[in-house]
Amino acid sequence: MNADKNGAVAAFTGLTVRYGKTIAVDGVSLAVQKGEVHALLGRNGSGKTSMIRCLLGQMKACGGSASLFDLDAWNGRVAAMRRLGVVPESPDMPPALTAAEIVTFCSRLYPSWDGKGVTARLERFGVPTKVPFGRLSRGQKNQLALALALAPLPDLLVLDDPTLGLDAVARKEFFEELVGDLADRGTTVFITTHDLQGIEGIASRVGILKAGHLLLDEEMEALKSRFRAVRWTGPALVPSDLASLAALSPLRVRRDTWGAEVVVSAFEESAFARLVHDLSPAQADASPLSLEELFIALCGEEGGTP
Amino acid sequence: MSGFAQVFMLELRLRKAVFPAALVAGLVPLPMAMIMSRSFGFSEALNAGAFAFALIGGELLALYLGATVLCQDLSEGRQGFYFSRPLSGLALWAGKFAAAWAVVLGAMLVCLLPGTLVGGGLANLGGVHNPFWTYDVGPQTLSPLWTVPVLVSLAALLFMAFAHAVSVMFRSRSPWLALDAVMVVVLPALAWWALRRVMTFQTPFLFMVLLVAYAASLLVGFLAAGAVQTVAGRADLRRGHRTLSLTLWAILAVAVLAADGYAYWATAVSPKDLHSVAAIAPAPAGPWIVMVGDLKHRGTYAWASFLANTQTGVYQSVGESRWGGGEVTFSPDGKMAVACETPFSFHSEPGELVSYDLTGPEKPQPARHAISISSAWGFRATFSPDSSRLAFFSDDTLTVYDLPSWKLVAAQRLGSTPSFRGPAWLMFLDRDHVRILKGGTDGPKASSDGTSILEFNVAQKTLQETGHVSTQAYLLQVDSTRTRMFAVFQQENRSYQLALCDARTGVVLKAVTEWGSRRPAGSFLGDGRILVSQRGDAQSVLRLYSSEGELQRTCTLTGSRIVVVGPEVRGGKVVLELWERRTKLVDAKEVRLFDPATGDLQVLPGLRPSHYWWQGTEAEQWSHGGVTSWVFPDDKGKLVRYDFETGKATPVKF
Repeated sequence: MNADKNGAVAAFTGLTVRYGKTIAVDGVSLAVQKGEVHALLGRNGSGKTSMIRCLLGQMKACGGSASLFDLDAWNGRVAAMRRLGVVPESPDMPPALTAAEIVTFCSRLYPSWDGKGVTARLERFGVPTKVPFGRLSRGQKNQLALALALAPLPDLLVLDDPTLGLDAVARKEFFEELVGDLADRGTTVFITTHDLQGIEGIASRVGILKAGHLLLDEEMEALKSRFRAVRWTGPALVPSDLASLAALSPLRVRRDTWGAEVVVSAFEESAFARLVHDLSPAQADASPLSLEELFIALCGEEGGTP
Repeated sequence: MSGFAQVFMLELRLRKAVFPAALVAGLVPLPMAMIMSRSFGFSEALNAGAFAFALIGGELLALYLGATVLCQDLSEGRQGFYFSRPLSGLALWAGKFAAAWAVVLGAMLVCLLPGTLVGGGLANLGGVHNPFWTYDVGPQTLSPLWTVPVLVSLAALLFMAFAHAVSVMFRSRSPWLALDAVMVVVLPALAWWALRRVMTFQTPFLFMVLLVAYAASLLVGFLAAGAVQTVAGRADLRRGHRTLSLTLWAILAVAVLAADGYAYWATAVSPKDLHSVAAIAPAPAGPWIVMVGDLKHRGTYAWASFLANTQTGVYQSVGESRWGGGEVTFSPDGKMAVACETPFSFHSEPGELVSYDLTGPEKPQPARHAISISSAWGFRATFSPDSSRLAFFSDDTLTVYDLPSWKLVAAQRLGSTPSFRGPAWLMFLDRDHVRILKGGTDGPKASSDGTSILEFNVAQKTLQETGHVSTQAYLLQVDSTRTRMFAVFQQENRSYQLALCDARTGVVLKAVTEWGSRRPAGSFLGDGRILVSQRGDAQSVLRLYSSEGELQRTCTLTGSRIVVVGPEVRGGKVVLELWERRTKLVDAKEVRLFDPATGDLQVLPGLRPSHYWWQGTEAEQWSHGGVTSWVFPDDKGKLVRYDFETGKATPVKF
């Protein structure tokens, strides 16, 4: 697998996308390293799909660039696509063609093609091969798209919210298949999704977009270790207490009758111990955040900057 | 397999339902032909119906496929399927379009099949020069056979490309629609300017050049725009619209502007653009001539007429009278010329009389007098001897105007013969009397009913038939005194006879001689003698008759040449122009000066003939025996004014 000088198989450099006067993506720089599962999270309209479309060479950026395997994504699209598997946000195959016809068409476009793998996956998913694509269920369409994306044995898999609209079972099957392929081949994955629970277990790196800006982009482990929910019961927080919290970089403070909950983005055990000592709460604890909680803390209505 | 081939095969698979549908559609002409077979033959009705069905259905299918083959996927967000594969945009566009084109053509053939199989139309496809579908169009225009399917196929491709472009524009709803709207108005207007200009110029070649250029530009423009939209716009519809519009309008704008430039260049002609001078008619007096010639680099049938001053080089392109300078008539004093111009119109609107004032040194401008002429073709006008009146025909009405006031003096219908549309010959006897030689549909010379001789009294506004020339008179010449004329008749044994007649009554004064099967031509000289020429198989003969019709002299000229009798110059010699028929050898054309007194035929070296209509009645306008100089083309086609007294040829510069 080729990668650029920094080992990135896909990269965005100052990418900017505008639709008329609306800025969808504003100078985002981000790199997907070889072998990692890079999840790009963000609310609807945050610019994820625009970034994916630029990466796939389907849309020309207004500023900056996107690259694949050290090739400009716009100019080198055809060459890059030979090593890429794509599952779009909304499966977009010709509705009149059957899965078998679509597979046949695609198989002749790639230098390598795992025909047996496709057949096995479609059988495993239970996708009928003689039914026109337009008459497949949403889940079957996504499964066919995943089977097609994995068939050319890609170096990079780009998944644009692939589980959108799928039921819980279908989502589970989708991610299981993905995990299986990751285990077998160690394929690099760049995924955007709203299924935070599903991706939490497999993503090695997370980027979060908010209104076209990249809020953060870091390893999942590091992210989960520095973000915590600090809760305590006892007297209500006063402004001087908040000053004591500053060392932990509080993102969001929620007060209640029992006490308060503060999401912090720079958690450290020693700083937390000092805080407990200074404030003397009746009870205090710092619990890890799920990816979903972390996302809500960052991108919710009261979200802040990490 | 290449990406193109894969997309092509995929698209064919997607459109496979079209073929059985086309087969079913192809059965529809069968019952229709059965119903129509009472009026037409069954086979003929079936073949024509099948062809019409296939053609119309195929072109409609082309429009539908053009609008959907790429654009539907694009607007419904399915284009990403192709662009997330290792497939170039060009392969995608070409594969999809080629497949859709193949589907259209295949569907046409399938649709054509049932009707032509039953009706026997397929038998006509095997190399017959004019197949059944060209019957009404004319085999000359559509032969050879392959032009029909080629044109139909290209039309289908154009329709597809057009429908694709329109579909992109309306589906994207981007602000670029504003540019589209502007260009849809501006470019046709610019294209129309060029078309109108060449149509007004009445040159079919230029018109066809423009039509072919426009069609080719549209095809190239729409195809290129679609390709660029797919390659550069990819799955982005709005960006695609931008690239499509910019490409399309840029190509079409360049093409239309180039066509405008070409049309301007081709029609803004000067005498220098003449390839050769075909005819020159000098004014009876003064330096002005009207000359007609074919134009260089403008294809066949590109002709132009100019009023030109041979002394100063000033010239004026003569209105819309491109075909034959005879439509320009000079006044006897050479100070005015009139012509009939036909403004461009899709309707058969009448022509308009224009006059040119030739008295000043500047370029004469056409003066319009709101006088409409029913038809510019064959328009003939005549001036009174003192140039103070003008008479002409429009429809079957003789109209006389006073000059220079352009006041209508008289208008007289000549009769109710509905077929009378062609030119009657007119001549003023004096300021108040006009003689009319009125023939049938093609003027007096080809009338089978003979020629009526009428006189119109302008002052009293009375029309009187004074005589009649019976049988077919092919040539009528009136002498300078208007008292006698000679006519050339074709007799029942198809031989020609020359007869001297009374110009007022048509009574034959003397049958001059039998002339065999070659029609003679000739002219009165100033003293009333008649000089007649006739082409023979091995030699041409020149005969001089006295004013009473007695043969005075016979001369022979070697070779089977047409001898045209021209003006009588001062001193009594007569200009002859000699043409070799069916040869383009320059040396076969020459100008000679005939001396009636001695029979000498002096060659005027370096001069070429160009007055092909000398045989007409224009001859009666010449001042016989008073001509001192005349304009001829030289060996190189340049005009020279030849002075008969000094023998000097002076170039005419424009």
